[in-house]
Amino acid sequence: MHPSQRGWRWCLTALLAVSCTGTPAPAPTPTASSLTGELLTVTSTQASVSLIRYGLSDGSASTQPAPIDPEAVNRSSVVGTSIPDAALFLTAAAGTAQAYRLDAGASEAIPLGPPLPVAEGSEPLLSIEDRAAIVADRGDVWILPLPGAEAWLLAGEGSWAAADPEGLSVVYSPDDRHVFMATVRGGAAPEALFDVAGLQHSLGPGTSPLELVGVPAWGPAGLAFLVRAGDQFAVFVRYPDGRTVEVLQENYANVFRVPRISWQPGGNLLAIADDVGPSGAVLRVFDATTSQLTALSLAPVGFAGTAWAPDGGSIALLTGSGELVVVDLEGDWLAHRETNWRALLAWSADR
Amino acid sequence: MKSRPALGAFRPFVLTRFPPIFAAVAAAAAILASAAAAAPMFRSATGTASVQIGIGDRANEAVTLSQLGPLAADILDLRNGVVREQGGAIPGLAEPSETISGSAVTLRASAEEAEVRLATRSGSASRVEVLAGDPTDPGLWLASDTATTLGVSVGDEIDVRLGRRSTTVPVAALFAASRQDIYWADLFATVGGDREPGDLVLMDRASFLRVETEIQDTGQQTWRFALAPQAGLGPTLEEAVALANAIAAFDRHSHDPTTPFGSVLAGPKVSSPIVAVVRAAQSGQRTITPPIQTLALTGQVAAMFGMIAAGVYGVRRRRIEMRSLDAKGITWLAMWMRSAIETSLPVLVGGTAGWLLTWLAIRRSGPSDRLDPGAIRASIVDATVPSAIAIVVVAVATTISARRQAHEGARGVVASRSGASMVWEIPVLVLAGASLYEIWTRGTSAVSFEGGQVQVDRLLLLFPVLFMAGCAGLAVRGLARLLLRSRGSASLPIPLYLASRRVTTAPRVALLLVTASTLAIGVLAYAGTAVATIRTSTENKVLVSTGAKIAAQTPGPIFPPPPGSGLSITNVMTVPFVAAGSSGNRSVTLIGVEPATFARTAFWDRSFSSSSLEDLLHDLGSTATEPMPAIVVGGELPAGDRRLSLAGYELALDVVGTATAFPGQGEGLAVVVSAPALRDVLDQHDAGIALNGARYAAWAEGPTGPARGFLISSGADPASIVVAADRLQTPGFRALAWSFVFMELIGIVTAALALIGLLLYLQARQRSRDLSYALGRRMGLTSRAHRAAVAIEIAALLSTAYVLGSSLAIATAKLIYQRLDPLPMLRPPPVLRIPFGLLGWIALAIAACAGIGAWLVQWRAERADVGAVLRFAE
Repeated sequence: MHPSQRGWRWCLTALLAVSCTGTPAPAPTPTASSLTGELLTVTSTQASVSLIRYGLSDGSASTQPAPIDPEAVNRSSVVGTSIPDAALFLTAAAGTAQAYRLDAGASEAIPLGPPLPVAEGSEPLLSIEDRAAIVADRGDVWILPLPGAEAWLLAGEGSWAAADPEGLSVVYSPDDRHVFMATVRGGAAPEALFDVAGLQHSLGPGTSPLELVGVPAWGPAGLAFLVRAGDQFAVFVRYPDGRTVEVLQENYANVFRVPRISWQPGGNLLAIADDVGPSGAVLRVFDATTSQLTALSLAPVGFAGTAWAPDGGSIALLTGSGELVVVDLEGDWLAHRETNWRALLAWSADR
Repeated sequence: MKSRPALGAFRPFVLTRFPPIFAAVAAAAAILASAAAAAPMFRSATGTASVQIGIGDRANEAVTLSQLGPLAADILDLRNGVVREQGGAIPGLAEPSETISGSAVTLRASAEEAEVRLATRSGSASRVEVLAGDPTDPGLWLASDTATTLGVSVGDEIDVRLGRRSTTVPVAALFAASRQDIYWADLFATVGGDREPGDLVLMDRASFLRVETEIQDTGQQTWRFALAPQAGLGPTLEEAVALANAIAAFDRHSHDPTTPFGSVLAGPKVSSPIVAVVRAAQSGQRTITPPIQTLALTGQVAAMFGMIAAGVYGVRRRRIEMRSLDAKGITWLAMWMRSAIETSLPVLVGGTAGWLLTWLAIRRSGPSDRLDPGAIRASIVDATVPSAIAIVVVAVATTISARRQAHEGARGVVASRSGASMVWEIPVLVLAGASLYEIWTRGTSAVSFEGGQVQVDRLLLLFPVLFMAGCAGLAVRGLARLLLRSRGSASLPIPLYLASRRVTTAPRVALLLVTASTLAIGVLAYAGTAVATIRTSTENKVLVSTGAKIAAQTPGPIFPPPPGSGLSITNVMTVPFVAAGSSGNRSVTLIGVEPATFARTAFWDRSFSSSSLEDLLHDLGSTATEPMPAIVVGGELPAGDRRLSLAGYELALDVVGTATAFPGQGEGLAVVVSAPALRDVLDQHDAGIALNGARYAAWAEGPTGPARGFLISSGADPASIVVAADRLQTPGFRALAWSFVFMELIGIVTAALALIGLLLYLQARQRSRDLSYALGRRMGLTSRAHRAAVAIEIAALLSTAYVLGSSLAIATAKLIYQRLDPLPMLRPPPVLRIPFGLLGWIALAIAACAGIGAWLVQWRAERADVGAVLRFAE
């Protein structure tokens, strides 16, 4: 190439660079199209319940009948999670608790393990993760080891329980104060872990006796659980080394609701969908590594469900008025739409 | 030998060979473009000025957003981030200042306690006087009084308690801050009152968030956005509209929970003066548009006639060429096209110059020097369209004139005989009479409020123009008859003789000039009179209602300011609805003043009373005497029954003076007495309770900032402080004043038109003048005498116009000045103010015109080729 030609090319390139960088390019606006995966949600009428698969990248939705009793939806007695090839959900109604598996692309959810009889009209504790499903009802804690799902095993007593990330152990509280740990299949005697009365000082002097409430979440970073003392409400995390820290305390809390907590897939962040405090509904994340609590989003009404993205980089939340909001860990909205959904069960990766 | 142009040849530059014609057409085109372009530019300037006046000293609080709720650190941080992001997206706003304040908490150190309010504000470290410690350290900043109460110093740990919850914080610094500092005023206003914590304790943000989260406090988070520095210099209305729209959207989104912004807030309070200021400015623009359009149209019509006259004069000047073209058989269309093309260049030059002059004039002398780009574009379009129309019209007029010139020979065409004999003044005066009848009989004021919109009465602008035009025409006709009867007497000095001969031998041209100049001067003088009258009346009304330049409600009399403060303060007591007379069925307002300080502080206009204020106050005295000396304002009390009933105490009055208005006067009759004397009298009779219903105010004279600070520190309610200058800027006042400012501009334009007339007059008579000068010089006429004669000739014409115009303007203003009242509900009534300064400037301009004109004429006469003049003389 002739030197003068090269010079011209340099000039043109420089001009192009100047023209491109003269005005700073606007920051990319996150849109639903930058999201991937599929949400599994629930919608219902008085007579029937449907499952909806909602594609986050293109906004497509497909509906299929759900083996869920409308009463279970009304009582929020349906929970879900995602595993690599499917979504799992657990529901209880009409005297029976049943786990289901909805495979990717399948048109019908199939029962997972046997049904578990529960007290009719009760609101049992329901929890499902990739290694276990738990139902705590009438003073008994039942666990369904996954993915085998052969049988419901009696793992403890009480109405509060959680399974460890491997599904090998379970913690439970027979009296909502004392917490024990037991192995799912072993015959070893349960081990007393802690008494929530020991956390009383964290909530300040003069508070009522503490009691465990809600559904605890057990992840690699620790056991997250919720306690209530009168109108005081708090979230604690018990680290694997036994240390317990207060993550959040709400004063004048709504005593008829309980926040939802869930660990980030493969991470140390605890999502807290807190809709019991005087600040309204707040989605927070607690970093178990730095002990930093950050508010990500607020909503004027309560939450009907939250789901972590499979990569742990964002959270989908469904408000009580049916608004779907997807926020990243900076609090920026990645997606927002009005829906008629009643519950948010899982966020599955693209398959 | 010059070659004759072909019939079809179009020569756009031909008029450059005739500088007077070129100049006359260009000048008229300049006026046309100026009148057309002035309206959008002036409207824009008024809008910008309205915005700038409206924003005033509130540029630092362009938008304020506040949110009440629990003070949890993570939520406060989330809101702070989102609000900053959303506010940062509004062009024209600077970074916000964030303030977070909590509820009442208890500080405890050893055995001492203090109830305080914790607060943090961005940038506050640089706004306090640090007495000890370092405010950049984490912890509490205590006022020295609070630290003394608690018995703590920098570095000590203090227990912060709210209900059952508490935490410990170190003392980082001791500070002092003025409660009168506007930066702190709102925070200090939240402490020290009833059911409020006693002191304000400041903190760095991180410590504040930690403490407030731990003690689970509730409070308020506030962001205050100032205008960005460049916008703070004064946004134009267009920029302000964009800003207001963005702020309105900001407000809307903050309340919309379906947006990321609204979702983090819950019922926030958003306030901004910008939106209201912009709406008021837009409303003001709508108000001012009809009158200025009317005036602009008037100016355009006048300029159009000027252009036609210049064109017709050009035909007369080039009559030989016109006859030649006619003889060669040029068609109407070709003639019209020739005229249009020839006229285009001077119109283009003049139009451009007129537009530029208008742009400069409005930027320098208009309401604001900042004009919207949209207004500039509109003014260009508005100037171009009538200029194009003018070319067409002038071409038609010159074509017709050229035909008549060709067919009528040497007969004059500047004004036809039929036109001269037409009495146009009568219909104009009938219209003026109808306008005056409307103004008088409707009983409305200059401005009215219809549907929340201020309306300026167009008749107040139209009537003067019609009235002065009609009267000027009639007066000049009378003058013409006088002139014809009194041709120059041989006994007069030479310059006077020559001037009178010249004027009387060409009465039509001269009198046209006088009529045009009379109207121009009249319009200018009337507009000046109206502006002065409105300004004075409004100032009087506002100052009478406030009493002084600055006034504030106080709980009682306040102490005088310290010596050397540059302030003077007087206390005024007002007792409304005091029964007067023995029957007690008449109610008056009792005003108690401090005679020693009142005159230095209160506003006074000599039109209020035949006595001076000093004399009136001296007569009031300061000692307790009965009957008590009193001034009766706005009416009179019946003789023999001059007494007031104050809560049962009968106070006999000795009326020592009267006034039509008095500072601080409300509606109805008022009685002014000496407040110290009144208190003494009542105390002597154990009737002090009679003043229980009295309202107290302190009036101040001096710089606004220190006066405001002194009044607040003396216990005045900050919200009650009234600055008269702010009240002067009412929409009605602004609309009316600016309408007349525009009228002044139009008056100047019309005056420029009169100057064109002068140019034409001089040019039209130059040849005969040259001839007479050439002959006169041979008979011993000196150049000095000739120059003096010309100066006298021009000065006589313009002076006649000056006297007539000024007289007509003052007479017109006298007829309707009572209606030039933007605040008719307030006292005192309007007073006529004649703008002697303006009249002086006009007189100077006339003298200058006469001098320069005479010099020019003489210069040309001395250089004229007498032979050529004799060959071509008429």
